Amino acid sequence: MSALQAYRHLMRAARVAFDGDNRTLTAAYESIRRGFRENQNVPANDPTIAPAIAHAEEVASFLRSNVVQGRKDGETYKLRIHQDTERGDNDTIKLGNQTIKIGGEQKCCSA
Amino acid sequence: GSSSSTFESPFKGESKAAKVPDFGKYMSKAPPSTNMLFSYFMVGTMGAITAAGAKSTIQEFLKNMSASADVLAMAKVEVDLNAIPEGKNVIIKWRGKPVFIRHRTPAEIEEANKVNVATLRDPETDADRVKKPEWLVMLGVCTHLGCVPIGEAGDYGGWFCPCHGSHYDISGRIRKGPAPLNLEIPLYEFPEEGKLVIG
Repeated sequence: MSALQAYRHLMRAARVAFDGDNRTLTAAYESIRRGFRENQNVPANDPTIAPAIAHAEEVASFLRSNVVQGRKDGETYKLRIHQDTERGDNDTIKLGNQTIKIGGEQKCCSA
Repeated sequence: GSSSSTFESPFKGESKAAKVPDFGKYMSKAPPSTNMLFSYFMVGTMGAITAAGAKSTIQEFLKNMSASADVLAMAKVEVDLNAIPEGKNVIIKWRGKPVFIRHRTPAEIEEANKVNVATLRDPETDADRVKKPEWLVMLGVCTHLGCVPIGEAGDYGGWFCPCHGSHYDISGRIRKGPAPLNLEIPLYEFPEEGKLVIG
């Protein structure tokens, strides 16, 4: 996965997530550019490159599928759920009998 | 004579143009973040809601872009129900808690109604818990100590709280484990066909 690809994915995801909200969209573009520019002189074989690109890709997919824009209308925020927004499948609840890690990654009351 | 050589500065004292106008009366009396038109909400399946890494990067970025917490604590959210087809569900983080919005299939509704209510710890019929049978809206917070129950597990075909092992059924009713009550139903309404307002 190249850095250029990750950069494009991020830019496109930001456009999906922040569509219509120019203030946030410009800020997002700016912060994406800044993030890539900071690392532009890192040599291609540097070990930190791969995790950084993976992180960028994760952020892009999270922006696209897990961030929903709410537009204020009086006291109510109207959510714009679009086609890429992640929806769960009701059937998966029946899979059952999976190994559950108690106190694993889930954040809990006392943790 | 001497009077012809005097120089008068064009900048005499305070001219009208040199003063910064007072924009006070145009300014909003409310704190800036109350007026923000957009706010961003986290949605998705449980894994995404609890995942670190990418999520924290985005939250850090959005911190200054969204309305402040005190505004969001009062806010209602409106969901277009056409976006959730039958047999699908969406989890939205609202007021800091995950809200499960579930478009149930007839089979699920039937399963929820089949249960003998008298045997339950917190007896509630399925009809008590929903306003429209096809839509189940509830807070994904375990009534025991406040963990987030997960789907895809549990003995009753519903949710399971991984912290101390509470099992909930398909209607979110407590069936087994330490939790005392059924999963909480938030205030919600259907103001018009195809619209759901939570809060």
